[in-house]
Amino acid sequence: MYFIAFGGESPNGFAFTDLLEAIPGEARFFVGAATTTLTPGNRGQGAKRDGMGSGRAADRIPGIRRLSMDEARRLPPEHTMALVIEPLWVSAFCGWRPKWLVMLVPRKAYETPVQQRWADLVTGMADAVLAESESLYLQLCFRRNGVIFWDPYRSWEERRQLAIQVIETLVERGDPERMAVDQRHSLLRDYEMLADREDVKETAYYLMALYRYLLADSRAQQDLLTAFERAVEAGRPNSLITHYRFLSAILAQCGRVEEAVQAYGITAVDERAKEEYDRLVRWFEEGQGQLVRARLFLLNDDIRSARVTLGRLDGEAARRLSMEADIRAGRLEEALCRLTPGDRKSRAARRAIAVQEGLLHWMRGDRAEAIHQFLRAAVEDPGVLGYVLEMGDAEEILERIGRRGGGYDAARAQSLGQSVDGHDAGAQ
Amino acid sequence: MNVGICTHSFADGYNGRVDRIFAGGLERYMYDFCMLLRDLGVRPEVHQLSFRGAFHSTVDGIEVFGHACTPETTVEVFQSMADAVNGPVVYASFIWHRMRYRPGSIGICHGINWDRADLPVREKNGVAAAIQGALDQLERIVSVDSHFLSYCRSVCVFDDPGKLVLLPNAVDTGHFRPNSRARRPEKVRVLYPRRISWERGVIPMMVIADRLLDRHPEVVVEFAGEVVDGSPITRAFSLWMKDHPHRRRIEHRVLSFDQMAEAYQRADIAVIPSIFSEGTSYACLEALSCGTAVVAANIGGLNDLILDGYNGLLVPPEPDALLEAVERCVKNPGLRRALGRRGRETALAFDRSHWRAKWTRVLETWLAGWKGGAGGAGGA
Amino acid sequence: MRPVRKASGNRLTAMMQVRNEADRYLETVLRELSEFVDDIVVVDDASSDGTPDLCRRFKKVSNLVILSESLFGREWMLRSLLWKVAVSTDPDWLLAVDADEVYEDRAKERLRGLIDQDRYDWVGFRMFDFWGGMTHYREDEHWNLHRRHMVTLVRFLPGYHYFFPKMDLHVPRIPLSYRVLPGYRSELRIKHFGWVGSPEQLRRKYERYVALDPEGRFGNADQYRSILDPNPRLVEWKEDGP
Repeated sequence: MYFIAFGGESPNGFAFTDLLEAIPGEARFFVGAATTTLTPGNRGQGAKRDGMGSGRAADRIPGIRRLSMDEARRLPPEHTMALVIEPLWVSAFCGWRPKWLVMLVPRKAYETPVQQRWADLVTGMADAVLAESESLYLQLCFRRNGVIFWDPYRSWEERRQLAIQVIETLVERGDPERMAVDQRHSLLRDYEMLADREDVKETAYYLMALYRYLLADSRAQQDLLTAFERAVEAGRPNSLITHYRFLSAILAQCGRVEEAVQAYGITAVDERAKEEYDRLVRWFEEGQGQLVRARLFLLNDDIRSARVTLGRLDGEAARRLSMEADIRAGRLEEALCRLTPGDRKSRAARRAIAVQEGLLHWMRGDRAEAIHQFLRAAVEDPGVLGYVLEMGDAEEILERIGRRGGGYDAARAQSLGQSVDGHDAGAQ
Repeated sequence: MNVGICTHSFADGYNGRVDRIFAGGLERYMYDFCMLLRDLGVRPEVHQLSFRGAFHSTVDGIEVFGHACTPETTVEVFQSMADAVNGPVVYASFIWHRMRYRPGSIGICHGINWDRADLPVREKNGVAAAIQGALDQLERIVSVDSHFLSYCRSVCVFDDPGKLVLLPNAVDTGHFRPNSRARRPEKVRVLYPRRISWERGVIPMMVIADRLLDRHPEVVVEFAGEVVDGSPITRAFSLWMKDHPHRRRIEHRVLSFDQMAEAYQRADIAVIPSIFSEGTSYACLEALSCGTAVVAANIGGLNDLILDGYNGLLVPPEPDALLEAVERCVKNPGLRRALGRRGRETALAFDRSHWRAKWTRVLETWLAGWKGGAGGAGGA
Repeated sequence: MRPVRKASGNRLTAMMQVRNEADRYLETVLRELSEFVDDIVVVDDASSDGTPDLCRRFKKVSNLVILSESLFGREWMLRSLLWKVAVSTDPDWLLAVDADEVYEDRAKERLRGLIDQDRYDWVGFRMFDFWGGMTHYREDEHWNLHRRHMVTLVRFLPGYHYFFPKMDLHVPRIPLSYRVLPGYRSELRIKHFGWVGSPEQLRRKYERYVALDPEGRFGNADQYRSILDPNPRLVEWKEDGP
């Protein structure tokens, strides 16, 4: 089997080093820069990581072999796992699709909008996601299954074990959700131990409510209200939205739909939310309780539960919500499959569809058709040209990564390419 | 006597080259206008806005004064430019801004640039008030197309119908003339003879080019127009061309005035896909004059030039309609020839000689007033 | 499903906690309230002077709960109890009134307009401390409540999470949870007659506060002392004033 890490740096700058180390040496490949350019920022980060137990400063992954994107595409996809930290590389896959795709979400925010867009798309399509920051991890847990927290406070050995477990689970079972659930239980226990500490009480209860919710434990309600009281006492004016609104998701999860709608209604203080509330009331009175639940999940950014609920529903309203949920989950293909001719009636809708179609073509590697769709939308709204410019940004960033370090050994690359073609480069 | 011409652009201040004229329609018009004034025995001096500080230069024998402004002070500086003129003043742009004009002056409207369906009503009302102000203060307004006349008559109130003069743009039919030998029978060359800009419709042009090139292997698409370096649209255009599956059948050139005639002559079809802000387009007149089949959007002054199906095809400014019209021409050489022939006839009615004659009449009357001391306060 | 916020047809319920108010302003307060609220809910904190009988004389007093043992000094319990009783009547809006507070006349006319809307959930008023008599209010460093807004009128949102801070004295009269809901600061005024008494009555009031809160934990010790100021700064009340 082959493992290819797709990075924005050289292997030494790769944030998930432990993960690479857990892979058999002869199967490790790398697409990214040749050498790390040390900037004050990543030097600091490297030192911090070392302090947390990853241990080695330079040349931490001996024997890892660098590939060009063209060489990577020649590896047999059915035996290849892509470990993606720089999501833009996926925009250069051009139809090549390794059997397993793992998205690694670094703690550091992406520098450009196009990287963020691709991170969202790749986290949607990946078989598993590992996140280094807990807040991003939680956001992603609300978006999809199979999200693992790559906890920087765990020891090197623990993370190594986690890496091996993720890979094995993926290869053997295809879905790491069971593992993800176990991890959430363990994280919940950590916060339960902090709950009595006055200085962190609000945060601890809030996170407990989130984890319990993710584990479908109805005690989430009480934890959330405790956190809400704390937030109100602390004078946080926005806690009606940041804390209380989440109660509507918790109640919807428990099947207490009417209460859930009213909880949302209490937080509906701006015009948009009021419109949402009126619609929820209407649907509820029409007996469409499941649709109401799905909408409430979406309003609370719980795209995962919304998609599960919507998957069991028919009807026009459910279809529209499903499209929204699919798009927000980064599942463009599914979203566009749901389109009906009626969706293209207004010009604004046609523009929005053209943009999504453009993104889908871009994901599939059809550059020309992607630009064509973006341009169609840009005829009326020049703002859409931004997508075309993002494509240019993506191409420039990848070129820059490829150029970094310069001294690329063409002869070595060629011999590597041959051995890759002959399928004898990795352990299968 | 000196005549001052106030305009927002003439010498190429955008690129810091104030020793040459910027290559745009407005600037070409101003140049021809200066030459005409000189033939009438008066000395033109051009006053223009400058975002790079004040300047004074001489371009092709025309004295040019750049007045320093910032994006916030354009209107204020524009109306004060006339104070520097010792003689009658022609306001050659900015008619859509509310301004104080020097009494006894002439204004020129180069077309309606606020003809966007989605422009907020507040802005449209602001333009209406500005035009009313221009009609109240100016002695005459010369318009390049009939639409501005209808706009004034329908939106504003004024007592002298003769205040508005229709004086369409013109083409040098001797320079822009048909040359059927320049075309290659096995190819169909589609020309976009405009700047690479949003309002000129480069985006719908790219959209239809994708489909034309996919469906018709004989089609070559030529973009003949300037780009504004670093603008988003220029970058999008370059990205579109780069790695295009039919890159070899897409051409982009920036041509001089003289080279443009050849571009029309070798083209089978010229597309004018403007989205808004179109007066009596030079590009359209030149294409007609060279006998090239024209497909135009039904925007602004293009409606004064093209009768749909007679001397060109006139369609809504949307990719699907444009594509259908261009494909009709691609597939039908007979149609192209017929449109081209009538296009040439049309152009002859817009020959430059007519333009000079009409302007001469307008200017002689106006200047006579000034020489006789009947001009506005500025002449006193 | 009942909408969370109604823009019309709202029912207004006044709620009060009282203790030995029969000889003071309670009658005036109940009479005035009866002019513009729909119901009045009262919790009597173990009065010994016939206060409950006085309350019963007013038709709009729809709910009267009499405590046999006083909760004075455990104020958050008293506030919570009053809240519980008041919301059990299924109100739309609640007006929290003390037995010595009277709304100015124009407020009575405008109150319906303040509650028949769906944009905000609480209303604050300016409260003026009348001093020494019914013609002047006090205004100085410690007595300037009227420069701020005090929330006394709130929309009841069924199902919302209501809580009071667990304090023994000076507990806010409405739950803290309203802090994060949208509100409106009205220019309308409340007349507070709690300090109108003779110097001797003021001294007794002072002594009671100091006994309950000797270190000024729940209130301000300087303000307690200022009760005894022999020459407080007084401003004349104008009925149509700003």
